[in-house]
Amino acid sequence: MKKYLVPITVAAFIFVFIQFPAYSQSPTESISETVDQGVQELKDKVAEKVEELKDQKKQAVSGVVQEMTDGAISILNSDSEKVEVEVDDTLTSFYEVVGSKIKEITLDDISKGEYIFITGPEIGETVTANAVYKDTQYLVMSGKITEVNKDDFTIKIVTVDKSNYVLDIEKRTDQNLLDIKTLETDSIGFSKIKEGDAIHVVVEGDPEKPDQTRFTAIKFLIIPNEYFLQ
Amino acid sequence: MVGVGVLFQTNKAEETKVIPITRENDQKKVVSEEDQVGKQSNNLVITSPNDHTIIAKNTIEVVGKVKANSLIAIQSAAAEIIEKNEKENFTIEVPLAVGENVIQVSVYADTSTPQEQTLRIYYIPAE
Repeated sequence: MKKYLVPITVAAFIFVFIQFPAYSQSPTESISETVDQGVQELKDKVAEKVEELKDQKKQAVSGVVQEMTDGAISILNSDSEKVEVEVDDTLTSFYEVVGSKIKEITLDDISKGEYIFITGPEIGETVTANAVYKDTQYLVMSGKITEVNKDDFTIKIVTVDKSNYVLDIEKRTDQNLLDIKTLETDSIGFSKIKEGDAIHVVVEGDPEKPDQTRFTAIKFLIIPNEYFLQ
Repeated sequence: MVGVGVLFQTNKAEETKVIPITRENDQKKVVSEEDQVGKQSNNLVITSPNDHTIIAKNTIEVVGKVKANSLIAIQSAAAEIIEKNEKENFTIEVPLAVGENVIQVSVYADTSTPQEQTLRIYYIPAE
């Protein structure tokens, strides 16, 4: 047995010394990989945040002018939230959208109750305006036709959120109906409008009457109820 | 044997240190996407464009996901588009008017009650 003791001791000695370097290198590489992965994740997060901030810079806010003071305009947006807008006579540009053109105006041409949108950086709830645009307020609504009144050319609709509106249909209203077989739209007259059909409407809002429930329809598209019964 | 044992333990320690961080991040992302989808609607997810985007072109691509075979209606002052989407993903080019464009995207999947989202896109032509 003694004759094996020396080779066994040597073999054990060699084993320990061969394995030990491997033990000391492998974790270092793994820790290094972990650190690299962490740094990469951090870089990705920073890049993502930078992209987010870039996108935010390309965004606008809109609403109805509530108040105008020296250097500031307060607006109420479509979510009924108040947004403060800082304006500067020399740095901020003022425009009005007229049809397909943009016309230069001044701050004096904007007044309380008008609809505007603003471009510029937004910090917290304050926007520093690079440009202010006076525009027309359009609303888009959809729902079901609940009543058709052929005497005064009005229809009543109820929307998905259960709001009721009266729409005046005029000769200039662009009236379209979906053909359920071809899925093309056809121009129609008032007589083709019927209760129960789904309707998508564009109207012009009156910024000074936020609670109005009667509008003149600019255009509408009707999807016949028969489409859903197929 | 001792060396192997230590190496194994070290790898296990790394696993418990690294992997949970990655999983936690993944889970956060998944939860936030689900929340977003939930807020938007079940049958309509619009991935692009972002609401309130400013653009210098007179058209914009609306990209999203709906239930297959849904009827998609897009309505704005400058656009009226209706089409049946056989697949889940959709890309629809929408014309824009100068200024603010209020674009309503409605999707009829199984019923006559649509899922809807409204986008405000601002077309400001380059000078």
